[in-house]
Amino acid sequence: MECNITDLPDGATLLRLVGRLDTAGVDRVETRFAAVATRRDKSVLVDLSGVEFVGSMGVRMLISAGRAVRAQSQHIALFGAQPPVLEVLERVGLPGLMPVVADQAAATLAIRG
Amino acid sequence: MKTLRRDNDLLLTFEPRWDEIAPATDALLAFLETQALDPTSRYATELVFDEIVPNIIRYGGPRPSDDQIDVAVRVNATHVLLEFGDGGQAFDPHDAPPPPQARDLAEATVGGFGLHLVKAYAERQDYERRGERNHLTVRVRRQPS
Repeated sequence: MECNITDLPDGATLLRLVGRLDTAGVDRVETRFAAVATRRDKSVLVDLSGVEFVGSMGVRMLISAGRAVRAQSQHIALFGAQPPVLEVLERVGLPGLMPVVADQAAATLAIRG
Repeated sequence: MKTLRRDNDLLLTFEPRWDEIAPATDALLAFLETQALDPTSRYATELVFDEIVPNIIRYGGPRPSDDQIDVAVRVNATHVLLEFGDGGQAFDPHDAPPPPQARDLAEATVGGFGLHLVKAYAERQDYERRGERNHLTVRVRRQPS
C-alpha cells in the first residue's frame, strides 16, 4: 500500500492511494494519511483509482480523515474508485458523508462547494 | 503461521496477534490466485476474511494463552466456504448491532461497518459455540464466470 502526496497549485492536497486498503494496508499508510488530513488550511482530494480493495478498516480511515479535515473547516472529496471499491463505499453510506465522484475535475469542483 | 494447501482447500493456523494478519492475508491471496473464481465472489471472499480475522483478534477478549485461530477456505462448484475457529469469548455475529447511520461527518462514527459488510456480501453465516471455541462458517456464493 502506497500513499503519495502532491500539493496542488490551488492550495489543496492530492492524496493518491495505491494498493489494498485492507487491514494490513491501512496499518502501513494510516499514520501518513492522517498526518496530511490534519494539516491546517488544506482541502484534500483522495485519488482511489489505484485502490483494488477496500474493507471496513479502509472505510474507517477515510471517515476519520474526513472528520479531521472538516474539523478545520476544510473539504474532502474522493474520486476514481473502481466499481468493487465504490460498491463497498456505497454500502456503508460514505457518499452521504463526503463527495465520492468519478474524477479529479469533479472532486475539485466538489471541494470548492 | 501454518499453511496447508490441497487442491481447492486452504487451512491456516496462526496466533491471535495483529501482526499475523498480513501473512495470513498473503496466504489467502496466493491461494485465491490458483482458483478460477469470478471477481465478485473473489472480492467477497477477501472481504469476509479481512473483516472476521481482525474482529476475532481485536474483540475476542480473554482467551487461553496458547489459543490459535484456524481458518479453512474451501472452494467448490457453487460456493466459497470460510470456516473460522478461535478460543475467544463467545460472540455470534447475528447479535451485532446494526451499522451506524450518520447524516454528516460531524456525527459519523468511524467503525461498526465490518459485520454489516460481511452480511451484505455473504449468502449465509452460521455460528456455533463448541466447547470453549467459536466456530463461524460463512458461505459466499460463486457467480457464473
